[in-house]
Amino acid sequence: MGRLILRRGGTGGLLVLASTLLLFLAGEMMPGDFASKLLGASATPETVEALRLSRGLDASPAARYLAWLGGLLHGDLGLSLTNGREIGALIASRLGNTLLLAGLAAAVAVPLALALGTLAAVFRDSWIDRAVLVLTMVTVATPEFFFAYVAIAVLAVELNWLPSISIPRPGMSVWEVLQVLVLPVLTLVVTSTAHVARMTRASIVAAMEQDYVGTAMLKGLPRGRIVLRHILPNVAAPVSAVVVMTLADIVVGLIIVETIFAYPGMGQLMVDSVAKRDITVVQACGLIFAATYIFLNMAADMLAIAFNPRLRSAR
Amino acid sequence: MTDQKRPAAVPARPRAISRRGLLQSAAAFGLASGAGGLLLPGVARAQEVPQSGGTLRAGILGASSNTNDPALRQDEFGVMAAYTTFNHLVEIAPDKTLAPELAESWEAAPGAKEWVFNLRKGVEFHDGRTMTADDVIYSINRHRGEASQSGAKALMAAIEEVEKLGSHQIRIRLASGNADLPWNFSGDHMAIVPDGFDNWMKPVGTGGYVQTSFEPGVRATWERNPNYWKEGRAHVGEVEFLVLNDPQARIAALQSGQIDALGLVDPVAVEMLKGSGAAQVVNSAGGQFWSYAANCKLAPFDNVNVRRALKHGIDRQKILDIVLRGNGRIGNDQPVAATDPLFNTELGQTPYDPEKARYYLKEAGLDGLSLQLDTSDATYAGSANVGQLYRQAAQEAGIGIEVMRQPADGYWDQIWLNPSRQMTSGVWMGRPTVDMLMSTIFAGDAPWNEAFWSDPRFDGILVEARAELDPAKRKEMYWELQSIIHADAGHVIPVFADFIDAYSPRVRGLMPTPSWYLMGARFTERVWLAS
Repeated sequence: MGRLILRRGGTGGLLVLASTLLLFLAGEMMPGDFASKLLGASATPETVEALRLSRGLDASPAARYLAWLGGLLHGDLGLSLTNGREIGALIASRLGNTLLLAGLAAAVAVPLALALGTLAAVFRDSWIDRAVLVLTMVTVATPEFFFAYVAIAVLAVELNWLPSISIPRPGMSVWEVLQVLVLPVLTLVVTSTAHVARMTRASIVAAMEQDYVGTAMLKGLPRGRIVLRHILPNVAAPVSAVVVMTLADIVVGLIIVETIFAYPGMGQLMVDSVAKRDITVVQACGLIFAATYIFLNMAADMLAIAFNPRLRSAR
Repeated sequence: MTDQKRPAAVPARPRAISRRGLLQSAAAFGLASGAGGLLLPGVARAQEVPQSGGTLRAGILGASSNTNDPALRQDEFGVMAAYTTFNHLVEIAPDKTLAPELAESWEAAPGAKEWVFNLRKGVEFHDGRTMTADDVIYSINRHRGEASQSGAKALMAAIEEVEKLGSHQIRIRLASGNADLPWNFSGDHMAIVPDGFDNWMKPVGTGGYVQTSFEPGVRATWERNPNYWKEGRAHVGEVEFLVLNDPQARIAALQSGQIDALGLVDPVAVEMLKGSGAAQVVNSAGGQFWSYAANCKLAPFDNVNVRRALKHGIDRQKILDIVLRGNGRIGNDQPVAATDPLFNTELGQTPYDPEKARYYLKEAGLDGLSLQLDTSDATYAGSANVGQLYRQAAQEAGIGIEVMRQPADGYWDQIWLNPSRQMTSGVWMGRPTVDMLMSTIFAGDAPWNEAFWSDPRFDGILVEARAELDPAKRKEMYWELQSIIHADAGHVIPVFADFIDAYSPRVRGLMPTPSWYLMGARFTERVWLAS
């Protein structure tokens, strides 16, 4: 197991390295330039060149890539092109906000999805099952931005129950912060629950066809006990993989949700920086998103293996 | 974000008739009449005694790269923040005249090459220091010189020397005469800061509000400056800017009562906002216009008859009705707004006339014409739709227009001002003076000569008019310049779009202001909140 983790970790590291190269190349290929955007009216060729020089953009792409990589190894994300501030500091507060939002969404979405999926499977073909199926079908087909706008129109504008803008203010109580976060969390929950719920239902339904479940039923075990003690451990592997992938989806879905609700997180920072051609910040944000995705993917793999001894021994 | 490349908040020239007088008499009869004849509680009660206090919250366009430094300011945030924290030498007053602010008076020597400004005494910065000539000289010199990266560098380039005559008097010497010089100091870049100041995370100014927090790209807050020198201004207790960029989220925030003020409102949203009763909409007719610039260096657009054909092949009224929903006026291919006192009222309106367009094409020796028109949402929302309306209208005249929909990202850098493009779209916010407007876009050496047009006679009159102090002669020359642009230049100017702002019902003291959005960017010090 230890060797396996090491090997998977090594692969993950290589993938992160490859994504740094892709991010850097993408940044190089973006049309436009931060200097002319920043200088605006006074963007004569000389002032643009002077500003580019002052940000070290005269070095060759290869040299800049290696310098960036070297900095990353020391935990140094570099400086923002537009305002010269430390990207590490810029990202620190944003990352905290993003993790809070993603964490809250996951904390609601995952148990909710597992419960819905289990209920649907246990009461197969009942109205509960059909309701869950229809609901998940609808939400899985609804893009985040659409749900977000509908939620704003109904819950914020019409009913005036919740704020449509999710900017936490310093000095807010925990209760107030939660209130501000309801709409973005709701959006993420609704759009991410469906996959897990359907997967859970399908896995449990498949397990219920198995002989050992039939035996347990003939033995006269109560239904709840069969599901909780016998079925759930057996479906843990496929379901955990979907759960982790859903977490990755939440993190990526944040870019849209943060922009709509003006939530000061990583996604919004990245969108801002793309518009201003602040390539170094875009690269840093992109790297954090890529690393998160790769890490969660690895975690899904390892969970699947941990839950399934056969996969482990096959290696 | 339409104002990315341009110093958008430099306000337009005042209109000849003061709308305030009109409002006062209207209010006396219990009536209110804004620019579009709309009923506004905020305007109707403009004569009430302003109340102090409350928190004014505004939704503002911005980004994490924003700064408080007026020289490097970007986006709507930079403009609005500048007028909240700082004062300037002069102010464009609500009645659209140039009013003294930190300069009490000014005088030009004959030829308008030498100007003396007398500064206001006893004005305190937020940190308690008293403002003197040294602060003003520093604030001007920041934009000058080789190393300057300021957005006002070009505007200040004509200054040869700024000289201290006394503790509250300065003299400015120009390379060539400029009768409009004081107007140059009204723009947001030209904020007055303390001598040597450079801590832009904690800005210090003399304005009506002291900044209390600043999170770039998220929010900023101010509280009222207790020592503010202006009487009857800066009524609210606290100001908060929330950075809101998503168009739907901006409108929703106003409708759900989370913000009190919103500029750059899309004309499409106007009817809905008015109908909802949750907002007051204020239209300000002013200098904002949309432009199509035909590249006069490229054949066949180097032929003036082809350009005239293009001007007769556009249905301006249709664009105003369909896209702007009536929130504006039709244009006449010259950039001076009807609200400007120097507007040439005798210039005939170019009609939509396909026959005449065909005639001009024939004069140019052409049977038909086909061209590519670049549009992009970087200019204004719905720019491609306006292009389609132009295409339809021009078809009747034998002009085939291929409407290119260019991505907003990179439009200003890659497409606009690119000498290989045939015709590009642009948007202009107007300028405080006609000279600034024409020197920026139409002079042969203009930095943003989007039509690549140049006419030595035009350039000659422009320079001459700049130094002319006699109002009658100025008017004659500026009328002539408008007529040259109208007939010859590469610009098709279909419409002037109103500045549209929306406020929550509790905001009072609202007034249409022709210079820019949110009362010429000075809303924080002019409005008050009803309790």
